[in-house]
Amino acid sequence: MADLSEDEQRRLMTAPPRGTLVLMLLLAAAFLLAWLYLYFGVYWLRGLAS
Amino acid sequence: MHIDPSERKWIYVVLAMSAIFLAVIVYTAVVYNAAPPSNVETIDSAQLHLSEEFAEDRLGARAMPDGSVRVTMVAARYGFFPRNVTVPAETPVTFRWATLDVLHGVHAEGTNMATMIVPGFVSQLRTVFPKPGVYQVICNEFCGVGHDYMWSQLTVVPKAEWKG
Repeated sequence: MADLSEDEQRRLMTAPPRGTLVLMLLLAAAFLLAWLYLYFGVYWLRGLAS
Repeated sequence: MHIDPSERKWIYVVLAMSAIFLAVIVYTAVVYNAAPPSNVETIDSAQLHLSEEFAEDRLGARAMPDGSVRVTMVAARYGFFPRNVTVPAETPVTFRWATLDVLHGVHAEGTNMATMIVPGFVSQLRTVFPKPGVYQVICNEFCGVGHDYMWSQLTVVPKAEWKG
């Protein structure tokens, strides 16, 4: 940060955290797929009980 | 109330995921009856040996006229009776349990067969075992010092090999 001009620093500080958002979306997609796998790939295949 | 735009996006993602989970659960519950077992039927736990259904010579698996199988079992400290039950795969199986003494739980490992057995009530569960195998049936409600040793065995055989 020390090598950046004030303009560049301000732009960086106000820009949306795209990398973080991408990581969050990847995490959400992984969580969703894992849940669907447990529901349909494990629970469902064992035979419904009621 | 101020919400940061990034946090707002994350809230939308969490709400969308929750909506998907809820939609899947509600849809399968309504369309396929995927719901926890529920049966309200009372019985005198102290008189099981005199009852028509839970007397010792009536326990076990038997074929029903509609092609399904009914399994009647008694749970008592510290075992499930009969100890070994054999049922066919790909066939509707209705389990009915009663307890002689205290609260027990029954769970066949690796299957969805699990419910509580409450004194004074008949527990009932209907399921289909999709593939043959041998499953350990354990008690999953602490019932006393011998709880760890309370188990039985459920054998699921191919439908053609089952003799009711």
